[in-house]
Amino acid sequence: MASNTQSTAQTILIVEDDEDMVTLLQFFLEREGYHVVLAKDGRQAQQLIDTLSPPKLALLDVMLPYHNGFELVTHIRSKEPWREVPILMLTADSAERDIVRALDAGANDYIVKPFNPKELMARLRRFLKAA
Amino acid sequence: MGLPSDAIRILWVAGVAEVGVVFALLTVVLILHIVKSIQLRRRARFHAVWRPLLVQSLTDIPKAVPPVSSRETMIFLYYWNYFHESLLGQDKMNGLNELARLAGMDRAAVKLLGAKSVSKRLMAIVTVGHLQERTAWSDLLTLAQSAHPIVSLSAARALIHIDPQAALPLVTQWIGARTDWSPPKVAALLYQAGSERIARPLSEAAMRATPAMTIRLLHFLEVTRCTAALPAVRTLLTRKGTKPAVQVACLKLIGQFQDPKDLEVVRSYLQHSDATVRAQAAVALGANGTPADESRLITLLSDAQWEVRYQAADALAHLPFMRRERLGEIQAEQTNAQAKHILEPFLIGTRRA
Repeated sequence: MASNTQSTAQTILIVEDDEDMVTLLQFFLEREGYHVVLAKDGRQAQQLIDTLSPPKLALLDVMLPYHNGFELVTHIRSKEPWREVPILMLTADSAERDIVRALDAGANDYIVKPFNPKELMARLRRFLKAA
Repeated sequence: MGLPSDAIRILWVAGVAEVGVVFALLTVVLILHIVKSIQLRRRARFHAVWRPLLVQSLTDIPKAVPPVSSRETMIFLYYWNYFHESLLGQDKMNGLNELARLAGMDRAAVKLLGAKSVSKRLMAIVTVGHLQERTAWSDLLTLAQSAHPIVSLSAARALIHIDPQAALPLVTQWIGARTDWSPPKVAALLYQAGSERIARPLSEAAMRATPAMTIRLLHFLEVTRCTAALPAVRTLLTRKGTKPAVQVACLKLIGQFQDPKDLEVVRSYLQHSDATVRAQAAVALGANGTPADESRLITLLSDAQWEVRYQAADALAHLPFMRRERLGEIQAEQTNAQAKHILEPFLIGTRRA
């Protein structure tokens, strides 16, 4: 779990258990100047949500050890300082049910894997501008 | 007292053998542990060097890269393909491909196409596909004929990656013939090739194929949802000698596209001698019928076959203009008890006026 010592002005939380996917996401986000906080499973993510000040955006995978992405969305939406954090879900291709479930749980948008980096950044910018 | 000493000797030999087996197993476990540790260390070393280079190649192609040993080839190909399969967009493809060529992995992958191990062959097939490696074309053609369904399907996918124009006429024929290819994987392959591009060659292959192959190809045409397939499907439906099973598949497709031009042809199959054709014609009409089709479907409510009666009732209930009140009237007008009965469940689901 990366520690969050920097300002949360442009911090993005990534919750993803696939190390290689984390490398890719981190690369694209840091290249655009965002500070990335990582959690590799649902339990670490819950600890971060309970202890850290809210980031500008949370990028959550659906399939995670301990607590899945849907549970994390519910947890975020129930925590006062985190309640308004925009949430983008990372879902597998053609997982239509996952997408509906995530949006119903309170996620703001979703990205389907495999993803286009330009599309990912465009979707992120949309929420970060609004924030 | 020979027996006890014999028994002791046998027990002693058995004990020694048991200890020997335990030691042998321990040695195997130890060797496996050492091999695994070496593999993990090698993978970690490879990661440390190559992960930044792979990521960097997505934006800037490095000028020089460290050599990849033959032992590291499969690790490289695994991660390189992972990156390819995780991202979309032409930009990343160029960078990753350039990096693989710099590392000599294009030649390594072509060489691996002839590997005995299926996993190595599959990795090589996927790699040359992503690399759009034309020198691998003839090898891929051979692999696409392989009896192994995953190897042959992967080779077909790689051929489409390399040259869709040249590959599609071949691949469409194989799709019809290879009943061992997984339908969802074939659907994914068609999706990757692009509906507009695949619909015509697929429908043309259906025209020339045997009835069994034609049905299979027509089912895959449903996936494309592309109207470019319709002219061939219409010809196939009305062609003399077309088998009822093929006509059913054609009517299913025509019903899906809902082109008003096809209504007259669909109507002509409502009185077909084969019940499955009549039932499918009713389905097609239900998707696209006009008020004039109401009476035609009502006639089918008294058909001798349950399937036809059921599909006619379903089609009637789902006609765009149908309301519950009208369906109730139709039921009341029926003198045939089976026709009355078959409408019963549809009265509940139909919209009120």
